[in-house]
Amino acid sequence: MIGEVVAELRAVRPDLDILVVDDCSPDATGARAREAGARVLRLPVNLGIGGAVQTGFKYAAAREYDAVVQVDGDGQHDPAQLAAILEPLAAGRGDMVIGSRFLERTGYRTPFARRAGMLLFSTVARLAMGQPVADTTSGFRALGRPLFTYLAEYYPTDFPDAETLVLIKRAGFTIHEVSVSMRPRKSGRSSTTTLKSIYYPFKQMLSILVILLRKPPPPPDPARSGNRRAVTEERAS
Amino acid sequence: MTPFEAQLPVRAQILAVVGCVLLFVFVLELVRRRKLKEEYSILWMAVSLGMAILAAWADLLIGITRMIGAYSANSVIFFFGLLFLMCLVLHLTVRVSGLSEQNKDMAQDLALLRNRLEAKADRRAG
Repeated sequence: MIGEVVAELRAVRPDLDILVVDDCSPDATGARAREAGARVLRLPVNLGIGGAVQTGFKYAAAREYDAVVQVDGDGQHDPAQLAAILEPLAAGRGDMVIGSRFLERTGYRTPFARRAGMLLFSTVARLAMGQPVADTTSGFRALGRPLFTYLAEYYPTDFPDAETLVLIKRAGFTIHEVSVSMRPRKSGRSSTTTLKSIYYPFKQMLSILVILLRKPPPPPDPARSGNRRAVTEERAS
Repeated sequence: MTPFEAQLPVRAQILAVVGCVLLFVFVLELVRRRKLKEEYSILWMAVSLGMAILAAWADLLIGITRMIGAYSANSVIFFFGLLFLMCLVLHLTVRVSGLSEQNKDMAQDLALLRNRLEAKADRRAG
């Protein structure tokens, strides 16, 4: 499965480096991704999605890439949409460009509990960020170097979604949202179960509150110039 | 009989002191076998010592009860015991948070280093 996703990305954008973070998955995710031509980071213990994504940012920060695109490993993000989120980033319309499912009516359907949870966050997150973000849990995001360098250092790995957005807004980064269409996931289950989707909003609220109480860590120095490359990161757990 | 005059039966006193001594020895043994860090052993030894003193010297407990204006010596013991356990658990969760952060950073660094090594080996292989 991950092999297909990597192959598809390579077919659409052969100029990008592809990194797969294997969050200690019991199947052959790492090996498949490697065969398909991706670079692989294999975590020795399972860190969960936040820790895995941050590993990718650390990789990109150490190698001074210009941009990172975060893509889910289950094939729900269409590589054809890469340009849609990379262009606004290159044009400087935001330090982060989120590929959103809900800005316009697109082909994506989410379960009710999930939708209610996301509506709740959107409201809280809007109040905390001073900017509406329709899809706070989108895993399809493009980040510029100053931002992923910052997140390589500070990342709310426990509950990464809406908090990351609140954190980066507080640190002075900008967010731009574009509408993308997503495909239903090809394989695997969502990491969000029903029980979790009840518990999750409370955790999120708490952590957003804590971020607001805490002084934001200072952003790093303006990034040095480097060669223009991009890395595409995927995650699989 | 008012609660202040309540006397601990001698048998209960002996039992409590023996229990404390056993706890003390057990903690010491854990440290000797390196199952427990010295840092925590001091805490547990202090607790077992304190409990032994209170058990052997019932008047002290009654004095404390009177001093803080509690109704019964039992509740004084439970109150301080609970307070101690809560502080300990809070301290431990703080430690666990720190450890999990360190664990995450080490796992990430390990993954990055491993990748770098493999890339180097691949280049050498051709």
